[in-house]
Amino acid sequence: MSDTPAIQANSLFKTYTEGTIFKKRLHALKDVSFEVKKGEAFGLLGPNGAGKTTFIKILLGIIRKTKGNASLLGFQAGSRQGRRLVGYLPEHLRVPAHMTGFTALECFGNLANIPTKVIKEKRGDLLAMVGLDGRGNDRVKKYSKGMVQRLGLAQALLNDPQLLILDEPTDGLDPRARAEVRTIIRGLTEKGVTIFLNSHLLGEVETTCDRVAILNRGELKYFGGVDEIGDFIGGSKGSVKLSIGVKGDPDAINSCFDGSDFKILDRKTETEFQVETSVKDQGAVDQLIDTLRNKSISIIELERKQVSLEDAFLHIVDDPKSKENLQNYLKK
Amino acid sequence: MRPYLALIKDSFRAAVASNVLYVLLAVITLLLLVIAPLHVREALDWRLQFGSNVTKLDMLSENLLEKGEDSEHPAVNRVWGMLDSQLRKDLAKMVAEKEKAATEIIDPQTANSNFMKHSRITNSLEDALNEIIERKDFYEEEAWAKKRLNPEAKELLEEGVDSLSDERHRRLNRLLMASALRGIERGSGNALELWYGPWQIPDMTFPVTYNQFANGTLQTVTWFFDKFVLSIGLFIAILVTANFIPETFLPGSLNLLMSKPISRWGLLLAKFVGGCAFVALCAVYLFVGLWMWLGFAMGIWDPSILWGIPIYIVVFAIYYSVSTFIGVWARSPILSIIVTALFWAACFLVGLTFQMVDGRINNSRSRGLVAVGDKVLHIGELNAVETWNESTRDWDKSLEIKMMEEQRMVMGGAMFIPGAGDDGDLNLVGPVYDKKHNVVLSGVINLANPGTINHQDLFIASGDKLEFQEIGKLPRGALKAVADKDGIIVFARDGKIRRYIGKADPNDEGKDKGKESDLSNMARSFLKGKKKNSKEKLFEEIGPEKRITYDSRRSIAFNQTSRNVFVFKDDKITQFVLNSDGKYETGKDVTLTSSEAFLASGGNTLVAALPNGRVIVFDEETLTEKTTERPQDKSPFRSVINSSDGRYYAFLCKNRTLWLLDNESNSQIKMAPVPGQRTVTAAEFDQQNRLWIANRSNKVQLINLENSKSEQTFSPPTGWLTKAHEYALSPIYWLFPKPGEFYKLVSHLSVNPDDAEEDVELEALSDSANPWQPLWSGLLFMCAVLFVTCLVFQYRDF
Repeated sequence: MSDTPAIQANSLFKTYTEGTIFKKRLHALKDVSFEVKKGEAFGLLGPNGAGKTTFIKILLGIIRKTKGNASLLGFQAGSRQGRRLVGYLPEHLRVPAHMTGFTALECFGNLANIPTKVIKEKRGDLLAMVGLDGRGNDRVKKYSKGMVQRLGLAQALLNDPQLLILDEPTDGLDPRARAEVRTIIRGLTEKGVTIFLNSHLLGEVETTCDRVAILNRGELKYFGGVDEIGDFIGGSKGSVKLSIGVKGDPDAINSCFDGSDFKILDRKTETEFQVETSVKDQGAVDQLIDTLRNKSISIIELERKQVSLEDAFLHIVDDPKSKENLQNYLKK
Repeated sequence: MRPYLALIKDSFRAAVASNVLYVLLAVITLLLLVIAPLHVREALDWRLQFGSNVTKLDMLSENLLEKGEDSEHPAVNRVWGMLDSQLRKDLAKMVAEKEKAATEIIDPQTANSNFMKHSRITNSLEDALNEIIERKDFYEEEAWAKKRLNPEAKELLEEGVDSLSDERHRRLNRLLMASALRGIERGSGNALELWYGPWQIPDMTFPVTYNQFANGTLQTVTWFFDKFVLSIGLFIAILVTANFIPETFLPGSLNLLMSKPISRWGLLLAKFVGGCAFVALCAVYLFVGLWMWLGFAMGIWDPSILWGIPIYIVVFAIYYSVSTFIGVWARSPILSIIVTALFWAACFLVGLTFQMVDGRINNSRSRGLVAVGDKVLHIGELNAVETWNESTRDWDKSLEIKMMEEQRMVMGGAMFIPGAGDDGDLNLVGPVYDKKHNVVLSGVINLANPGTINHQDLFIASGDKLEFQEIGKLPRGALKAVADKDGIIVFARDGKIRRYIGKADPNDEGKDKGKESDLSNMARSFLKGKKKNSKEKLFEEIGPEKRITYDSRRSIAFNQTSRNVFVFKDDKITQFVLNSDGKYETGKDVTLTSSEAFLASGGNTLVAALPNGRVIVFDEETLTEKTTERPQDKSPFRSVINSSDGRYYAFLCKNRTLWLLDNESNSQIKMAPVPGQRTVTAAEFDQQNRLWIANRSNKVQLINLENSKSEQTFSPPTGWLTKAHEYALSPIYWLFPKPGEFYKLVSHLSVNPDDAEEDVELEALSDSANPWQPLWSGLLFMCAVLFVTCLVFQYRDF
């Protein structure tokens, strides 16, 4: 059972049908397959309308898949056994205005079949953990959006979930609160809780998650480690990006970069340039340095530039050949 | 179960947190505070209330005027003498005007003006008589020396007039007045007065027992609260709760709820049950408050009023199921409110339309049948006398009420009011078939002249052609006509029995002078088109000396075999026997424990059908009780008829079932072996003991009771209204919730079942054939809507 993935999707399709007479079909998920291992923090990325929330809803049984398979902790997606082991914080959480922090926890906990007595034992610590200490008896209508979000996180943790599905968990939170939520998530990961994070904030995913999947228009564009995303992008554009400060004869400098993809970012003096280029690998970096030195060109500075998740995301989403690339990447 | 209970608990929290709930609770509190000081106090029944315990105002006025100055009647002299001289003049004028109106045509304007004037005079008379009752000096020993006083009055007199308390003195005066004046009831002795805090409410004294008062109050309270408080309350509740379900379907709420390990059906049903919490809180508060008010203020500690709580929660739940369906289907609170409000209106519209159309059809039903040899006369809408037309295969009107065109239009509209023409209120006398002379006699009311309503025009037709001709007037206040072997006898309100003595053709007057005419000659003469002679004496009084006034034809029975007459009055059946002079004289009597009874007599038996459903069979000669029976049904009687030989008695009940007592087989009362039970509206025996029956659609059949076979059928075509009622309106009505009828169920449950077994009047039990039907059909509707809603919720993506 320990090898059972926390989430597994296999050729998952979801098509929405709208209209009674003139039916219109919308393909929300198209042949999506990936899996999330137990204990990892996993991010699901994609632009609006990519199918992220649809995917989560299928997992939780809120909507039905059209085709394919999906499982949750080894149980069929949407099954009550699976949902029992999951904590879920939905996007745009609404808590009825008549509830207080405590009654909300009692109600949502009872809905997860947790006895009221147990909830009462846990609720103080949980509210303290999410930064709502002392606000349990306040009406939710007096809560800010961020406080409601924190309360949502607290209720998701009531049943000690094996898998925590967070849909935009830091939406509406201030920077400090975001940092606190990140800390909580990291703490949970350390305890072995699987985190499935759906967020627009790519930096947050980058710092929190080990692996990510990127969806665009219902198709899976990338699935793998956050660190490996640069390699994945490299598969189409070159893997090492360099920023070099050089000083010497302009013609000589130009001849060194001739034949490669480069651009001059800045000309500080007649002989001093800031150049950006991409090369294939570290060997190519060494060869470039040798060539520059052989032509008596001084290397004032050399910076190896990382590919950010945001860059990769935008690149992947915009690349029409990304599906092909993914297949090739996964074959490697 | 825990998750579902959590949802219900949360709904209660939402209700408690709602401001609207507190507003409603405040309104209910206010209402309870307003009614809280209303209470009853026991008192002696002494006050006269015209229209309530004095119903025969004409008789009272005439009695006062006729005997007021006649020294033979010192008790009436005493009352007359204590009246103001102006009032005496007014009374005399009023009686004269009424007399004139009874015989002459008065223009409507004068009739209206007279009506207003007479109302004022009767009000003054009521006040004056009550003032007399309050006077200590009313009783004079010599005035009542010859009067036979009832035991209660005797007992009070024995105590000594001066030693009586004010209230008991007033009671004595009331009894003395009742013994002096005809038309004033003695009353039961006990009365209940309605008080608001320290103030007595005028004209609100009920001469009833506490039990009767309790039953009446419970029914009035449930009716009032259903119509005025709960209808509005439910509508508000619908508006308030209409967004409960759609709110749940907002993405941020629903996604979280549906991610929990609970079933969708359970989630929806728990939300639905929880939604009813709002109304549950209001209903509990209102009905517990009412129950406590009835207990503390009225002394009616009847827990059955608390049935209102679950019943009105169900009523709300029916509407809420529609709200839930729209909420799930459209997920729009506004649409949910609009559709639910429209549905609420539609329920009332369907109910109202059904009641009106049903009332219209019911009011045009067969009201009576008269066997004329081998033919039958059908009494249809507005008591019109109809004959069967073989060529059109429909009933043709032979005789109908006289009225002006405007009155006909008003009457046409009134026929849509349920029960408007119920119960033969128009008091048609006849038609009656005189076998010996082969003529049919019938009275006709002339509504065009309101003053003559009690003085019907008289029509006659030969038994062969059944074409009616007017020949004069029935005696004033005529109630019932029967035929014996010598001709026709008419009973009138004044207690006089009159034989019909038709003069022969006016042209033959000299020839027939002093002789009783042959009715058939007279009929023939009129049928030839001769002018009627209104001055001709048509009736001859045949007793009795000691009269009993009566006001219901159903309390009069005539036995064709013995020719005895039986009259039920107050609580007594009095027998009148025909002596050798051809006059009626008072015979035996028997007292019943009932204030109302339907009488019928044939052969050697007399039957009294009581409002509590019991049927007592007497020996018609000795008035000794032979047996007591009771039909299995608990529906009040509409009429009782008998075969002329007294073998069969048929009991027609208000639920349109017909029950039969066969004296020959000495069996119990059984449901009559006739087709179309629950649709029977009229019945009549023919001379061969076959039974004519008519149903709501005016279909008439002649049934042979030996083999239950129909020997003749007259089936008129079904009208479009009846078809629409049967095939469209009835199914829709059955399917739709009936919010306007739930109070009947609460009323039905409010009647103590022990009382219902024996002495409660069946009318009081329920006026609905099946008071549970609205509940069952409502629950069925709700379950069907919820089932569809659950299916939508289960299989829809959110």
